[in-house]
Amino acid sequence: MNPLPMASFPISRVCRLLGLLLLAWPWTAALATSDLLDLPLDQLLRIEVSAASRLPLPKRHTPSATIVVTAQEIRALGHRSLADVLNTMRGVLISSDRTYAYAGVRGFSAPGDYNTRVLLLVDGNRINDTVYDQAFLGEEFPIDLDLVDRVEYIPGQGSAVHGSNALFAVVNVVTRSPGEPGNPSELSASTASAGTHRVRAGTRFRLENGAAVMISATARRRDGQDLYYPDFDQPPASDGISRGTDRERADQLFLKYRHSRVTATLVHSDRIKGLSGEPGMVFSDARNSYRDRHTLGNAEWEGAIGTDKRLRLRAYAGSYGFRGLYVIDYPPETLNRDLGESRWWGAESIVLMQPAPDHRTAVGLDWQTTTRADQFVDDLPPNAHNYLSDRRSDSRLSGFIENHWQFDPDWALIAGLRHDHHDETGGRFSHRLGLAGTPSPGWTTRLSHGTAFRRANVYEKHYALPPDGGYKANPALRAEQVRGTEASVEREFGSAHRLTVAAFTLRARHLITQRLDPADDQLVFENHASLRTHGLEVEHRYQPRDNAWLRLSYARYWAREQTQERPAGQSLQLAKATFVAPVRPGWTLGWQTLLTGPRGALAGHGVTHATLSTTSLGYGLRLSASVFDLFDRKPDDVGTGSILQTRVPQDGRAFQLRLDARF
Amino acid sequence: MRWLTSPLRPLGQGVVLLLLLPWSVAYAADEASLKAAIVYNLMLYVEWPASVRGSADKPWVLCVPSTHPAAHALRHLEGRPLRDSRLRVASQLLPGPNGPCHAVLISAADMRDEQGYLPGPGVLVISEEERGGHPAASIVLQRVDNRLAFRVDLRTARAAQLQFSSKLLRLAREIQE
Repeated sequence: MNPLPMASFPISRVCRLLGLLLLAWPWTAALATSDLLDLPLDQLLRIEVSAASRLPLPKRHTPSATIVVTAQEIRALGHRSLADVLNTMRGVLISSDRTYAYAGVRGFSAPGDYNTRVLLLVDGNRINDTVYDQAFLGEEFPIDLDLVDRVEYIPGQGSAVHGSNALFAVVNVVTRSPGEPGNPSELSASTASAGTHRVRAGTRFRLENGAAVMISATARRRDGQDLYYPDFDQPPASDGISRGTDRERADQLFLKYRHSRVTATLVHSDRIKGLSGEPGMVFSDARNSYRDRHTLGNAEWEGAIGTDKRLRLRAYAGSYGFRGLYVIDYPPETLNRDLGESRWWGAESIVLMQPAPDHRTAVGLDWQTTTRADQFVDDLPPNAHNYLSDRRSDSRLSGFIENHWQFDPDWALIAGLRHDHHDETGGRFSHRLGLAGTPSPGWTTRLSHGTAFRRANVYEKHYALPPDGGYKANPALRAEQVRGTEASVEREFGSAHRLTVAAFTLRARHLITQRLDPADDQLVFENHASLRTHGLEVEHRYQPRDNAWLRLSYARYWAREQTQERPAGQSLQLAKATFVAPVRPGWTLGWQTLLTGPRGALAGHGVTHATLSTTSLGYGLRLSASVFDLFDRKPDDVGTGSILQTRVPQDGRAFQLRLDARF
Repeated sequence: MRWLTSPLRPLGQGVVLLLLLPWSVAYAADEASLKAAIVYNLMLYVEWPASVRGSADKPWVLCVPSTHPAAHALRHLEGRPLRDSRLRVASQLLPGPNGPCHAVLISAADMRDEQGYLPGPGVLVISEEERGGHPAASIVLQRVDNRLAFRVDLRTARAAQLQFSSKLLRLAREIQE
C-alpha cells in the first residue's frame, strides 16, 4: 500500500483531519443527554480518568480518547496477561518472542525495542526500569491480573504529563483497593495446555487502627512446548525442534496498605523463562534462560490541607534485575552470563490550584535518582572471562504544569508543559495543547497536539561486547522525538451505542533502531530513522446491559520511514471484535477475534479466543474455561531481534480451566 | 544539572524536598459539579424512616452550609425530582424554615467546627474524608485516583435509622460494619 502523499506544511495535515471531522459531522441524529445529573451513580464514579491528565477531569474533557478495560471484562474474556488486555484495544498489536510481549502502537514497532516507546504506570506511577526502559506487558508483568481493577490506555504523545517514554501511548494499570467490599479471602487455581499451572492466594483485612491491607501471592509454572524453528533445521546437527526449553517459573507478591489518606504498595516478582530458539546460542539447550526480578515500593499521601487545599505527595523506589544465561559454543561450549541491575528512588509532589473560577491548574515536581544502572557480561568458569562491566548512575528533576481552562460550560482548553532535566543528557521540554468539548449532547470532540521524547537508555548506549562479541556501544545516541496531532469524535446513540472515530498524524525523528553494521558485522543502536505516520481508528461499542457488550474496532496506519539507506512505505491494518454476553443464567461467554494485516514477510492472520465463565456456582466459587486460538491458526510473530530472528512460532490452540473461590 | 551529582548534592536534594512542601491550592470547580451529581444519586438509594420521609407536599431537604466549596454546584439540585417529591437545598444544618434536614453535607473545611454536630434520627450525614470523615457520617466521599468514590458506615446508618439499597452498597469502595 502506498503511503498517503505527504505535505510539507503542517497546516495541510490539520486541514485533512478537520475534513475527516466534517465528514463525520452530518451524522447528527437523535441526541442523548450527557448532563452529569442524569448519569447513573456507577457512571459518575467512573467519570474521572487518572492518567490522561494530572488534573481530575471529566472524561469528556481529557485531551485523549482514553480506552478503559475493567476487571469485569478481563475476567469475562479470560485474559492471562496485561498484553492480552492491550491486544483487544483498538490500534494495539501485541507480538511475542516467547520471552517477552511487545506492543506495537499506532503501526510502530521496531527491532530491539523492549516496549520503550510505551510508558507503563501502576496506579499512576512509572515502572519502566532504568537500564532497558522496558515496559513489562506479558507474563513478565510483575502484578497478577486478578489484582487489577482496570487498565487505562491513553494513545498519543504523553511526555507533557509523564516525561520520557510516553512516545506513542501510556498504559496505566489501576490496582484494586484493599478496603473494597466482598468476601476478603480469595483462592484461585488454573491449569492450562503446555503443562501450565497457576495458584494464587490472597486476603484483605483491617488493622486495629482501621487501616485496610491486601496481600496476595501467586505461583505459576509452565513446562512449555517443543517448538519448531526452521532457521535451526540443519540436519544432521539439528532437526529444528527445540525440546524442553520453553519452561517458565514465576512467583509474585503484592501488598497494599491504605489508611485514611495514605496508600502504600509493595510489589515483588521473580520470573525465569527458558529460551527456545535464540540465535547465537546452542540450540535446544535447557540452560538458556532469562530471569527478571522486580521489587517496587510506593507510598503516597493525598488529601486536603487546611481549608480547601489539595496535595499529593509520593515517595517511591524500585529495583529490577535481569539475568540472561546463554550456552555458547565458541568452542568450547561455555555458559555466558548477561546481567542488568537497575535501582532507583525518588519523590513527587503534585498540587491543584484554582487561580481563577474557570481555570484549574496542576503543578508538580518529580525528582528521581538512579543509583544503579549497571551491565555486566562474562563467561562463567571454567573459561571465565569478562566482556563488559559498565556502571552508571543518573538523576532527573522534572517540573510540570497543566492548565484546564473551561472557557465555556461545554468546552475546555487543556495545555501542559513539562521540563525534564537529566544529569547526563541535559534538559528537554515537552508540551501538549488540547481542545475538548461537547458541541451538542451526545457528542464529544477532541483535538490535541503534543510532543514527546524518549532518551536513549543505558542498554542502547553502553551495551558492548568488544572486540568481536557482536554488539558495540554508541554513547552519542540522541533522544527520539515525536510530534503529533490528533482529532477524535465520540458519538453516543441512545444509552447503549458509542461510536469513536480518531485520526492522527505524527512525525518521529532520530528514532533509535538496532542494525547490523556491515563494516564490522556488529549490532549497534543508531538514530537511524525518521518516520511519518497517519492513522485512522474507528470503534463502535454497544452495551445494552451491564453484563453484555460488543466492541468492534478497525485501525489503519500508513507509515513512511526514511532511513539512511532508503525510504520505505508500509501500511498496517488491525480489526478486532470482542463481545461478552450471558448465554444462560449465571453463565457468560466472552469472545475475541483479532485480525492483523500483513507485516513485512509475515502474512496477515486472525485468531479467536473464547471463554465461558460462571458468575457464581454458590459457596463463592466461580469457574471459567477458555480456548485460545480456537481455530488453531498458529500464526508466527516477528522476534524482537528481527534482524537475526525473523519468525517466532506461537502456541496455537490452547485450553485453560480456572476455579476461583471467595470466602 | 551537575549539582545533583556534585558535593553540593545533599543541598540540592534539600532544596528539592523544600519545593515538595505543600503549596496553597483550592478544590476544582468540576469536582464540585460531580460531587453534586453523586450526592443527588446517593439520595436516590437511601431509605429514610417513614416518619421523616418527604412527600408530595413536603420536599426533601438537603442541607449544605454556604461555606461548602461545592455549595454553588449543589444549589443546581434545587427543585430536582426525588421520588414523589422535590429536592430543596438549604444552607442551615438545624431545623429551619424548610423543615428538618434529610441529608447534610459537611465539607473538609467545616469538619473541625462541626465535630460536635449530632443529627437526630433520619438524617443522612455525608462528609469528606478529611480527618477520617465526620463521626456521624454514614457516607464518606473520597478522592481515589482522581475519581470520586465513597465509603459507607453501616453503624452510623443504623443509628440514624437509614437503610441503603444493595446497589449503593455494591458501588461503595468500602463498607464498615
